[in-house]
Amino acid sequence: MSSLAEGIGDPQVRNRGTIGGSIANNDPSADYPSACIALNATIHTNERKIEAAKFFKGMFETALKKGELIEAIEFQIPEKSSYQKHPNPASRYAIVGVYVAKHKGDVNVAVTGAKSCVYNDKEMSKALSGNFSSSSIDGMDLDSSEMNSDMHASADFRASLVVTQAKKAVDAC
Amino acid sequence: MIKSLRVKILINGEIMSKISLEVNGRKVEKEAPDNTLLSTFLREHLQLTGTHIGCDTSQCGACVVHVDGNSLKSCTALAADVNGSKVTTIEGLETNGKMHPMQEAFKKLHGLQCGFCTPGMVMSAIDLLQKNKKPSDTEIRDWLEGNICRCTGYQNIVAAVKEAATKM
Ligand SMILES: Cc1cc2nc3c(=O)[nH]c(=O)nc-3n(C[C@H](O)[C@H](O)[C@H](O)COP(=O)(O)OP(=O)(O)OC[C@H]3O[C@@H](n4cnc5c(N)ncnc54)[C@H](O)[C@@H]3O)c2cc1C
Ligand code: FES
Ligand code: FES
Repeated sequence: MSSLAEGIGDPQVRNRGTIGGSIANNDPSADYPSACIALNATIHTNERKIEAAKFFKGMFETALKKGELIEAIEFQIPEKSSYQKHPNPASRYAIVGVYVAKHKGDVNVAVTGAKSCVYNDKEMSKALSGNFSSSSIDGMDLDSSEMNSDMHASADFRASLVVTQAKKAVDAC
Repeated sequence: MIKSLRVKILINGEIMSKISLEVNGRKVEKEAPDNTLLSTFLREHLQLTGTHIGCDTSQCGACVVHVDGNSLKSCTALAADVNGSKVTTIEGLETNGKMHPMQEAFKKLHGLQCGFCTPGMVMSAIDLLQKNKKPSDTEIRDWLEGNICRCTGYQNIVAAVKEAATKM
């Protein structure tokens, strides 16, 4: 988590930005949403508790209601975890970022930057839950039809980056 | 960051705040619309135009100032949000007409060409040395990641920061 935080923007951006603001904004390439998904976070607001899996609704959209404020975020401590991102060289936003977390029962592979909203990649989670080794996802051919395509990276390049970053994350665990 | 309660004033339907800051050691109090950025407040309300605006989207770093001792991009902060703080801008660095060691080093080692990025570079670099007295080249480059220079190619900026580290 701390190395994820250190990779956000630059020191002056980090001196101002908060984790609450980042997840409330739910930018498709923001880093913190992936930590929330990977570490089964619970978002505490002034009204209720929301599971991360139900919090991130879509592009720049969350489960927050008008006037609802995030007061705390609770993370589940995993057995092992690592976040790896391929940053945009100018803004440091994730072109693709993957947060792999190995919990007791299963593995979460939270992907940011690749689609319109952060998501848990079920295919890689399944493979890694069976065998927690980067070889079990090596060469995986992910469906790129819903992936972002822009001047920074094509959808196919993003699909390939997701696997590369996930492998790096598993190896770093 | 919010240090004191804001006084709200409604003028011509616009919500104004009374903003009290200590800027370069001088107390200032002015009314400004709620949505006034700190960068705009410094440049247009206080005429401190040494703080430059390159992008207005917190990318380039030309507008870096210190707020309560930490560097921040003044285009990321609302003036009302830093109410009650101590702000230092590039104009506040000299003492009795003598340049700050960081400014001296930039001058001596040609850490600038057009000078547009320089106020932000200098303010960021001073904050780095406040936090890390002897930074390595990598640490300097890493810290200045949010300060973009289109002229120098950065080599002399890094050299200037290293030089200043021996003087500060
Ligand atoms: C140059 C630059 C580079 C950046 N690089 C990265 C990067 O590499 N990775 C990355 O992830 N992000 C990056 N960011 C984004 C940055 O992390 C966010 O802008 C920051 O975290 C937002 O936090 P804030 O507190 O400033 O929120 P604000 O900008 O103040 O608020 C954002 C939104 O969230 C709402 N909000 C804020 N706090 C709460 C709360 N507690 N409860 C409910 N709603 C709330 C606000 O109303 C607003 O709608 C970058 C930004 C810049 C300018
Ligand atoms: S003007 Fe503030 S960072 Fe560019
Ligand atoms: S000196 Fe011209 S932008 Fe840096």
